[in-house]
Amino acid sequence: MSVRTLPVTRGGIGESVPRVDAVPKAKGTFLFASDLWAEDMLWGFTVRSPHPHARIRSIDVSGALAHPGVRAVLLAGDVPGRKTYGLEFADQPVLAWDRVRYAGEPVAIGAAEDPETARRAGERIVVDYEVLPAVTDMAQALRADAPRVHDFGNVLRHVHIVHGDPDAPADVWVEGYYETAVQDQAPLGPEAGLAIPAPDGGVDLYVATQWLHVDRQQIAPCLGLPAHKVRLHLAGVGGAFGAREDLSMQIHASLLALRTGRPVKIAYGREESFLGHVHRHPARIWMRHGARRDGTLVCVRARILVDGGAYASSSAAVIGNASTFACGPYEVPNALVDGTAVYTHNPPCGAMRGFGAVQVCFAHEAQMDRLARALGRDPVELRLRNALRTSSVLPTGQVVRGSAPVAAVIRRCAALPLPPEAPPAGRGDPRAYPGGCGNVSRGERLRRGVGFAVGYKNIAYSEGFDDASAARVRLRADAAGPIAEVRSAAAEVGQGIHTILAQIARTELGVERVAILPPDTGVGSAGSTSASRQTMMSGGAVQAACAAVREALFARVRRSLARPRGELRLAGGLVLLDGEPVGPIAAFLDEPVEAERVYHHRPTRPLDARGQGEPHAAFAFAAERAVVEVDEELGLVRVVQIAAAQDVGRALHPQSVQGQIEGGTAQGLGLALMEELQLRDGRIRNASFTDYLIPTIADMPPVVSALVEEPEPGAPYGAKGVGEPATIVATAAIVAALRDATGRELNRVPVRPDDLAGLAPPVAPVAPPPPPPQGSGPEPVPWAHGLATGQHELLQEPAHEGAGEDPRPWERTRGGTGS
Amino acid sequence: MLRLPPFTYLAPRTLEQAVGQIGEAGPEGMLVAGGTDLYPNMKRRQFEPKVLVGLRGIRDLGRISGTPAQGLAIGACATLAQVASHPAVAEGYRALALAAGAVSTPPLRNMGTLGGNLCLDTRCNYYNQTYHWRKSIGFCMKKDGDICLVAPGSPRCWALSSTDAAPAAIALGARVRLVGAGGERVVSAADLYRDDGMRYLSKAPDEILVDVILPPADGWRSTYWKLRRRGSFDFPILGVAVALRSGPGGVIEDARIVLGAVASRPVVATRAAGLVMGQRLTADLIGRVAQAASEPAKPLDNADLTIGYRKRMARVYVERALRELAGLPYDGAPGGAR
Repeated sequence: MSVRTLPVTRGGIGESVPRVDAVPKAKGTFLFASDLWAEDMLWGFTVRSPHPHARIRSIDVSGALAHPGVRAVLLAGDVPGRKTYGLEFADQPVLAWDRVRYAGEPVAIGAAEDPETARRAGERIVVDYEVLPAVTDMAQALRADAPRVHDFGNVLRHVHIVHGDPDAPADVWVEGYYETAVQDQAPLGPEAGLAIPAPDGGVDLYVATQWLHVDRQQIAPCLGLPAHKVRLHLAGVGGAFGAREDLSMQIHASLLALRTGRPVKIAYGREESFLGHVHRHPARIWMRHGARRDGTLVCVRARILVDGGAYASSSAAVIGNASTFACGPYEVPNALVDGTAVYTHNPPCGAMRGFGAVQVCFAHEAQMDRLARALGRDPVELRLRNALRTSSVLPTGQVVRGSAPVAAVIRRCAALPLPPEAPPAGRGDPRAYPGGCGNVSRGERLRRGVGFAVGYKNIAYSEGFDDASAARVRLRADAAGPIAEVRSAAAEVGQGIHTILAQIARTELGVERVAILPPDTGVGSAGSTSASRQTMMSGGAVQAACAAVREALFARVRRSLARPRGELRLAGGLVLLDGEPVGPIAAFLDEPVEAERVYHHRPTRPLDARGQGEPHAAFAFAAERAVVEVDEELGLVRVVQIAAAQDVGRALHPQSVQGQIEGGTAQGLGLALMEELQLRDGRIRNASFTDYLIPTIADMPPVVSALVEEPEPGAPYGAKGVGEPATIVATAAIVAALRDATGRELNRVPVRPDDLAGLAPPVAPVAPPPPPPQGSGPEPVPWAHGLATGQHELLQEPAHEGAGEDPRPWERTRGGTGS
Repeated sequence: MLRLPPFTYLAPRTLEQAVGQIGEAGPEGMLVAGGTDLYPNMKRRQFEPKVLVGLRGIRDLGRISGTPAQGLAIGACATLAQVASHPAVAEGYRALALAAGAVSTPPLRNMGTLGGNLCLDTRCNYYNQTYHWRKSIGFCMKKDGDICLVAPGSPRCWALSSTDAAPAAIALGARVRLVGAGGERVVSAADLYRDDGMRYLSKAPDEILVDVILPPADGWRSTYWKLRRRGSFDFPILGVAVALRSGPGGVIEDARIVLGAVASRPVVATRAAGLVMGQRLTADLIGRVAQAASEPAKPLDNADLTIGYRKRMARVYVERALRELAGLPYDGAPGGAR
C-alpha cells in the first residue's frame, strides 16, 4: 500500500516567501533611480524660487548659457505644450513664468555635461523678483483681505457633511482643539530619473514613481506629445509613502532630453528632495463629542482645516478623507463635519501614508479618551460599545458592506500581553530608558503610561473614481518547465507588491517559476501604488488574468484528453483531473497562453452638497496600544512597546504584513515624537536629515502584532491593503499614552520635550473655528475652473473596460440627485 | 544633488609633511581627518577649501599610549569608536569614553576622530543650511554675510559649540599638543576654545592638533551626560561633563563641571565647582551646585527646542551627573509609580 502525497505549489499565497528583491537590496546591487546612467548623459539642474511669493520681473540666463559645458537652459516659454500640470488639477506651472507661489518653486531648468557644471550654471541664472506679501497661515488664508494664492481665491475644497440631527441633545459633551504639524515622507531615495530621447521624436523616461500612467498623463501634454510617444519605465524606487504621487523632475528631464537630443538625468539631493515633493498636510481640528451616560455616542461635530500649500496636488481628496473619517470607526447617529483645504504660500502638501485619516485620528481618539474620562468609563470599553460593524451607517450615509471587524481588532489588541515593568533606575541597559544609546537617562523620574487608539481608512480611490488595475499574464514553457510571466504596471516602491503578484500567479497557475516583467506604460494602467490598494487591485487583476489563462489551458487539456469530464486543477507543475495527475503543465504549452484582465473595485459615489454618498470602496481598521515611559523632568520618551491588531482580510504574506505594521508604526511614532518640517514664513528650516529627525532603530520599540483575518468579499482571497492603518493609529496611541503618563493635555503633534516637561502650555486655537466658506463645496474649487487633469483625465480613458461610473463625479451632484 | 566642490587632496605620511603642506596652502587649505563633519559642510558650501590636507595617513596620530596611573596620550586621529572602547580610557577617563561613544552613529564614530570632534565647527540653525537656503534668507556673518541672524544687533556670531568630546576633555584637565610651522605648543583643552561662533578655536589654521594629553587619573571620577532628542544620531542639545576628585571620607578635593552646546565654547562652571570643594556631596548641595552651574548657560534661539527648555535642562543634567558620581539613589520610583 502506498501513501500518495498531493502535489502542492510552493511559494503561493499565505507563505512568507523570500521577497523577489531581497537579495539584491541586501547586497547593494539593486539599482535605484539615482544610480541610472546612460552613455553621453547630461545632468539636469533646477533653479528654484527663494521667495514664498514674488513676481518675476526678468530672468537672465546669458551667464549660464555662456558657461562652458552648459547645453541648455529652459524657461516657461520653452515648454512646448501645456504650461501647467497637476495630479488632480492643472494649477502648477511646469516652470513659473510670472509669479512664484512657494519657496522652492522651479523657475528655470538646464542641462550640463557634469553635475558640478550644472550646479555652477544654476548659480549664474539671475532672476529678478519683486517680493509680494505671502499668506503662510491656513486660517489667515480664509480671510477676505488675505493675499490670493490663485486668481480664484484660497479655498481649495470645502466638504460639508450633515448626518442625522447635529443638534441632538446629549448627556455629556467634551470639546477639544488639535493640531498636527507638517510631516515629510522622508523616503531614503531622493527623486531621480533619466530621460532618453527616442528616434520617433518621443521620450523614454526611467523614473522612481508610484503611478507610471498618471505621470505620463501629466507629462505628455506639457511636452506637446501624444501619450504613446511618452514611455515611462519604473526605475528602482527607494521608498515613496505618497511623496512620489506628484511629479517632481519628470517633465523637466524630458524637456531637456528633447531639447538637447541627449539623455538627461536629474537626481535631487536631500534638500532639493524636501523642496521637490509634497508633504503631509498640517491640520487644525476643533471637535465636540456628545454621548449618553451609558457611553453611546450621540453626536460628533468637527471643523477641520488643512493647509494645502501653493498647489492642489491631492488636497481635494485628502480633505475628503479627513472629513469622511473625522468621526472615527464608530457608529455616530448625528454628525456635522466641515472640512476645508486652503491654498497658502507654503510648500504644497499632498499624499502621505494615511492620507487625511492620520490627522483626524489624532483628534477623534483624544476625544474618545476625554469622553471616557468624563463618563468615568474604561476607554477600551467605550470604543467597543461604539465600534462600527458590517451594516453600520457612516456619517456620509454609506452603509459598511464589506468586512468591518472593529470589535475584534479592539479586543485582540487589548488582549496582547503588556511588557514587563521598567528595570529599577540605574540598573537597566541605558537603551531601556528614554534617550536611547549613551548616557542620556538612567531611569530617573520615569512615568509609565498606556494609550489606546483605533482608526480606519479607505482602501483604493474614492468618491466615484474607478481606479481600475490591468495586468497581463503569459504562461509558457521552456526547457526548465512552465513559467508564468506577469506584466503589470504596478509600482514596486519597497512594499512588496512584486512578491505578492508572483505568489498569486503560483497559486493560480500551479507553477513555481514566475517572472515579474519590468513595469512600464506598455501595459494598461495599474493605478497608483497608494491608498493601500495594490494588493487588492493589481492582485485582483493578476488573479483574474491567471484564471483566464487557466481556463484557456483547461480547454486545451480537455481537447487532448479522452475523458473530457471531471474537475481540472493545476498544482506543483502538474495538470490534475479529479486529483489525478494527467501530465505536466509544460506538456500543454507548445504555444503560450496569455490573457489580460482589468480589476475594478466596487463602484463608489461622490458626496453631494450635504456630504451624503457612497464615497469609499472598502475599509481597513487597526488598533494599537502604546506603552511609554516619560522622563518627566527631561521630557524625553521611550516607547516601550506597541501592541497592534490590524484588520487585514487575509494575510497573503504574513511577514510583509508585519513589516508594514512595524514600518507604519515607525512613521506614526515619528509624527508623535519628532517629525516636523519646520516652516517659518513659508521657508523650510530643516531640509536635511540632520535637522528633520526620523526615528532610528534606537527609538523603535518591539511591535507585537495580531492579524485579524476576516475576508473582504470581492477582494482577491479576501485580502485587504495593509500599508496605512498602523501609521494612522500609532501617533494617536502614543500620544494617548503620553497623556496617561503625564496628565498633560498634549493636543499638538509632534509632542516636544518642552511639552512633556511642562515648559509649554497646550496649543490654544488662535481664533474660533473659521466659518465654512460661502458657496463652496463638495466639488473642489479648481474643478469649477476647468482645471481637472491628471488622474481625472486618465480615469476617463476608454481603455478601462467596464468603467461604468461617471468619471466626472461632481457633475451629477450639480443636478441635485443627492439626498 | 549636493556635490563636493573641486579640491586637491594631499595625503602626507609624516607630521612634518603635513605642517609644510597646510602652511603652503595658506587660507585656501584645511585639515581633514575623518571628514564626517567637514565633507557635508563642504557640500553645503560652508567651506570651500582648494586644498585638503588629510591626516589619516600619518601613522603616529592614531596611537593611544600610557596608562591611567601615568596619564594617557591619545593621538588626534584615534577614531571616536576607538576612544569609546579603549580600556584605559574607560577606566581612568570615563567622561571621555562616554562622550566619544555618544557622538552620532556607529558608522560615523568609526570614521570620525577625537581631534576632529574637538575641532568641530560650531553650529547654528541659520548656518547649517545649503547655499540656496542661506541665499534665500540672506547670508549670515559666519559665511558670506555680515550680520548675525540670531541676534541681528549683535557684533558677534553666536553659533553653538556642539562637540561632545570637548566638555569631557576640559573636565578631565586634558591638554592638547599643537604643532605648526613655528614649532610645538601645549595648551589646556579649555584654552583651545574662544567665545566666538566664527573664530571658535585659539588654534591657528595651520596648526595641527596632534594629540590629547590626559593627566594621571588618580582619585578622579568622571561622567558625561548628553541630552539628545532621539535615541542616536543627533548633535547634543546639551552636554554636561563632571569630574570629581575625592579625598578621605568622600570630601571633594577638586571638581570640574563643563557644559557643552550652550554657547560658542564649552562653558566651565567654575563657581559651581567651587561650591563642592572641601564638601561631601549631599542631595541638598547637589541641588545648589546644579543651580549655580546652569546660570552661565545662556542658550539662544538657534538650535533645536526652546531656549527655556535648554536652560532648564542644564540644571537637571548637572544634578543628575553629580548624583551619579555621588552614588546617590536615583530620584523617582522605578517603573512609573505615581
